Amino acid sequence: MKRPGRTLAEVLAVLAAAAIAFPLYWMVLSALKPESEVISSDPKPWTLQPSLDNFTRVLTTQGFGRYFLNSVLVALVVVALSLLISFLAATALTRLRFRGRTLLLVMLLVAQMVPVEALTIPMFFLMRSVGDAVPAFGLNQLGGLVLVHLAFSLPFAIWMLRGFVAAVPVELEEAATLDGASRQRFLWQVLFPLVAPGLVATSVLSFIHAWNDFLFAKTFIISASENQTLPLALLAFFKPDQNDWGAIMAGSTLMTVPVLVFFVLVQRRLVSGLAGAVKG
Amino acid sequence: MARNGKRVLAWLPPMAPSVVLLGLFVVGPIAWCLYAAFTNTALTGIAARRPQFVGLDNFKNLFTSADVGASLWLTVLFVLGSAVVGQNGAGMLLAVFMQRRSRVLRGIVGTIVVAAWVLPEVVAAFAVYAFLNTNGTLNEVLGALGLGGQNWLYTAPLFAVVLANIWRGTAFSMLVYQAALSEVPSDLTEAAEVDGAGPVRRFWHVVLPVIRRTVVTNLMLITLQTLGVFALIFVLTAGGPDNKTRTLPLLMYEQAFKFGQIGYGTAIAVVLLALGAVFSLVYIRSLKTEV
Repeated sequence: MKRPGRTLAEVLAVLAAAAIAFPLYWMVLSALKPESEVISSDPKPWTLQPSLDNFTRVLTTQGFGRYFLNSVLVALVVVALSLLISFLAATALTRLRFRGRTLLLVMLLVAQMVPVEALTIPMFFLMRSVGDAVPAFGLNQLGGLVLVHLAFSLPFAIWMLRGFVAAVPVELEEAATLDGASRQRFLWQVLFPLVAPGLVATSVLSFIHAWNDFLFAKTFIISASENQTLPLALLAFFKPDQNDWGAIMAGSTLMTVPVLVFFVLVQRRLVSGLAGAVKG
Repeated sequence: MARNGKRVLAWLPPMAPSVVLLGLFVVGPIAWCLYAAFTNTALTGIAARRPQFVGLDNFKNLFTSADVGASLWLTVLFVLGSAVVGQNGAGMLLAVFMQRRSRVLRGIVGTIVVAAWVLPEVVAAFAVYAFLNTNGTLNEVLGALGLGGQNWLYTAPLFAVVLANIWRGTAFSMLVYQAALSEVPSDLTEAAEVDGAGPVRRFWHVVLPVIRRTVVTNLMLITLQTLGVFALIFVLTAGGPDNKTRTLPLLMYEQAFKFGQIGYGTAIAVVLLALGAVFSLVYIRSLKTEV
């Protein structure tokens, strides 16, 4: 027998999901509508003539492809470097006892508690100085964005991976050593694959952060418009006087697809990773 | 001695990249904030090349300025409304509703909620704008019901950004609580049920105490994320109308990069950092007491 409370909960959950889904639906719908329907004063919640005009308009004009590639490049490099660096750090912090270890752990926790946006101003000057020494990592350069996102992705990534590394029994390392495997070999051929679920979860979070970033791209890429990333390019579409909603929504849809694909691929592993990190 | 040297060789190489990056990009900037907030550093001009130490001047101006007071208050309201009450509450409700439901339902609802979460802030802002503006979907619906519409972004801007942030951010809390709820021993809730406790009392007196640590940690994480929200508000309202949604990050950005007052902007950043520290301390204390 089904109790009314259960049904009510199910109905509420579905209603909430529908409310959350609606703006998403509207985004994709507006992107597919022909122009005359988008600006119509009586918009309908469906379209009978879906067209890809908006998408082609976005993709062919305003260097959208370039910005898209910039965003992809930054996000992928951040993910790759963040994985390597946080894996090494998490392993050292879990497996080795050394002076200063506790201090580093506390630093990691504090770093997670800082609203990074508050550091925008010093970062701006830091990037400017770095640029004087190594131009490729300074203001107006994608390399600079990579460094910033990499640094801010580390605290959570290390914290999360620590749990995964700790879950691998120490006996395994001893066995590998007995079998004659070097430390490096154990690290990369045994431990690295074993913590793969954790690596996947951390990489999603770093990808999302780098891909979605708006404030740092806006602040650090000032004059080199060819190095702009997607969020800023989208905002260039968003002009109060000539709202081209078809193009805005097509661009938004294009920008959402990569994160969504990335996320759906690894959703299950992310949940277990998050649970471990928050409980920790 | 030799042993010590060998130990350093073991931990230093793997830690070095992290230590350098975190030192350079997290510790360094925080320290710089604490210094620059006491200077008259500017973006351009003489004060840019030779900043002077001005003591507490920035903070005196800050705390006598009606702008900053209003902005601080707005930030607190935004955090309480959208994170502590909104995302946290909605995330918990959704997690509870979906507990022990069919795979299909959990899959569909979960995917939708998470889709809003991975949405880039800029895109989320566009979607909410399309929903709330004068010709937006909400007004169409209200019109169809015979109710008058209005420009929600103009008449209720704070409500609009709070709603946008709840819409976007609920998934994180939901995921965290789903994981936590699945680990509550079922014999506990069943025993309470046998004793005649209804669902609300079971949740309040049995489940909540078990997952309390997770709740506090989650609150801390979403509070700190929400404190820094910039793009969502910037794109939706740009802090307006009439500065009614100009939270601390927007005020900081405006002062520093629009007006070039780096010292003053940094002082606002310090207030933002301090606000984060205050929230964190409250949460950490609540974890320590009544264990």
